[in-house]
Amino acid sequence: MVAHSPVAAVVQGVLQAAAPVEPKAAGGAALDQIAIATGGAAVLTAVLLIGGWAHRTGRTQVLAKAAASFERYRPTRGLPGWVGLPTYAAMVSLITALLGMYWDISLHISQGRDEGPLANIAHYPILIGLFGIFASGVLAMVLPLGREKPGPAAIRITRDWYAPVGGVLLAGAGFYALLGFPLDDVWHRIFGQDVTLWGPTHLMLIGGAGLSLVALAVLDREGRLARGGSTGQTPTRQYLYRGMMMGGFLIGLSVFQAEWDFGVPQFRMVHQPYLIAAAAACALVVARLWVGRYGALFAVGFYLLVRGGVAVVVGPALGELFATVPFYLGEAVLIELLALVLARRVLAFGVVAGVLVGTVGFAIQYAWSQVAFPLPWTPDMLGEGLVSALLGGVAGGIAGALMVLGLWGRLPRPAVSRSLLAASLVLVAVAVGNALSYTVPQGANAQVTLGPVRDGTAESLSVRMDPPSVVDEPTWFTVTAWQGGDLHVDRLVPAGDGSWRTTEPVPVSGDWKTLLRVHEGRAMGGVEIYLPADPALGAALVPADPSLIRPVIPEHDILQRELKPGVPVWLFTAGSVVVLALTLALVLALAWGVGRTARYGPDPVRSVSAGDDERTVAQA
Amino acid sequence: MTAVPVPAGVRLLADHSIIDTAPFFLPAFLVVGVLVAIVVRDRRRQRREDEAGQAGQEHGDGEGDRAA
Repeated sequence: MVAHSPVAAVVQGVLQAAAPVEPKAAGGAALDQIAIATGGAAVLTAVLLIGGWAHRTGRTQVLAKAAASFERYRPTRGLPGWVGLPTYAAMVSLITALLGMYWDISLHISQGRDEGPLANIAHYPILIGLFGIFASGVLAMVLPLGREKPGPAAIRITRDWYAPVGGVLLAGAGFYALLGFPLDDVWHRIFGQDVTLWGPTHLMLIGGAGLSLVALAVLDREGRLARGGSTGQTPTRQYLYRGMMMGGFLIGLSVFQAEWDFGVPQFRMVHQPYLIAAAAACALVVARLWVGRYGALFAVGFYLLVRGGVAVVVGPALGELFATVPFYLGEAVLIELLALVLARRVLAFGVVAGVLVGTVGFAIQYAWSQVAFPLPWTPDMLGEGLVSALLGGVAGGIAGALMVLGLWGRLPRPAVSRSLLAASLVLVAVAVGNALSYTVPQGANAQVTLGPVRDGTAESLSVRMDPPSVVDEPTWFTVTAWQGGDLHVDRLVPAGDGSWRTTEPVPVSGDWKTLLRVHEGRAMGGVEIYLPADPALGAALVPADPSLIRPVIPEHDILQRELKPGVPVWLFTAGSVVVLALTLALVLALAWGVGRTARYGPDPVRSVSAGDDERTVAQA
Repeated sequence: MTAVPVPAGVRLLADHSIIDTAPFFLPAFLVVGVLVAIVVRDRRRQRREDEAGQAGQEHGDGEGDRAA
């Protein structure tokens, strides 16, 4: 087991250092990083606690003045300062975290694991961003002083302190995300340093950030309720403000696709259409109805700007990998068109939008994947992918419709709302459960012949599968090399004689991890071609012999060599259940918050909801 | 306690879950802790006042509803 005292840590450090070549540590952090981080943490805590206390006791006007400036300027003008300031802070934090996240994933793909939490520079923006989300929530809770009850739905903290629901939810979402860090550490200690985005605790880090946009929308609603019809936010400002928020929501719901964006999915391909459809249907339904006409298009525009910007910063600018985006414009146009006929019946709109996104949208994404994604969709996954997308689209559409109705204060009665939410969650569970289940081809082997090797790179590979039926009509059949400083995904092409060949030279030396990946139907597997020795894990070198025959094995055994062997299955299940329960708690808390603020009826200054007539009835 | 000599060129790695991740979540835990303490103290004080016969019944809305 792992050493659990400072002395043991030092001893272990010395022992690790005794190895002739300094291995990449598998768990642990350099002490100077700890010192820096602890100092930073102390300062952050002090700022939040002392700042909040000084504001609430009238000892400082700094926060009040800052909030007031957001009431007078910017798109939030007219909304209370406890809405404007935290919303801006949260948006900046979210973008920071997003940048860090894509940068971090990119580094992990090309370099492998880190030496401790701060060894990787990309962790800083993630940390700052997630803490910023939490701090923004606390700010929204702390800002409204006694004489200004933040709307009728506000939550009582003390007898003379009420906090907006949106603020509590925002802090909760940030807290949930931050909770991912200690749990992630526990997770890695039990299961090893698996490098996958879809690790349960990693999903907490990114999910908390993504879902915080719901909290921001609730906060906006409360600001309106508090102002009781006299906000000075002009229709244009409201449009921009909400449009950006929904663009952010689309980004937040799309981060779960990141493994596909880079071309290294560790789950079956049918998961991608589901994830895309769910994100598009949910965020764009809300965007179209809550923002207004062309709101879905606006949200996609914002998505492309920010998410595309992040891809450009991480890719060409920082010299890391480029992350592709799905073609959400198609879904946006579908939803805009649908709104022309169905915007008045919101629930029906949500369901039909989901069906459209899951069918026509799926077809558009199918075409887009051929040109944009490293791993295009194929006839092999077409049928199941379509069902997946339908499930995702309808689940997302229902959730989006409920959210809009809540934000408008027009939710159907609780029994109906709750049943619909439950139905949506069940669809999600079915789709995710199906996508996560896979088989490994039994008794299959790959016969690989290397072309001439120069400077550690094989000019070509020739592959023959036994039995050949393993790759009848594969969804992917690639040589993938990563963690050698870059990523290399090469789709094999048939050579005509029953064998397959690469189209580019393949690295088979140094730190590279090179493998053959095969996925057809429900079957997924990998074949080791070259893996470096890894002393920290006790893993031996797997050499790339000129001609080799190796079995198709579960990809986890190769992609996640860092995984500790011999961990009982029930422990993994228990760990997943804990994370799932926390996630469900966050989702239900957000739904509760939307419902709580919905009780107070339509707010007096919302946009007229109907699709045909978007004039806003705001009074200046 | 025990000083272990550290050879030159060696980087010590802390290997303890609390040390590793505390800087990430401790501030949030502390702030949430303080908030909870404030809530509990206020509720307790109110109960005491109610028991003392003073009608301290102004707002009764959303007691203890907390998502964090």
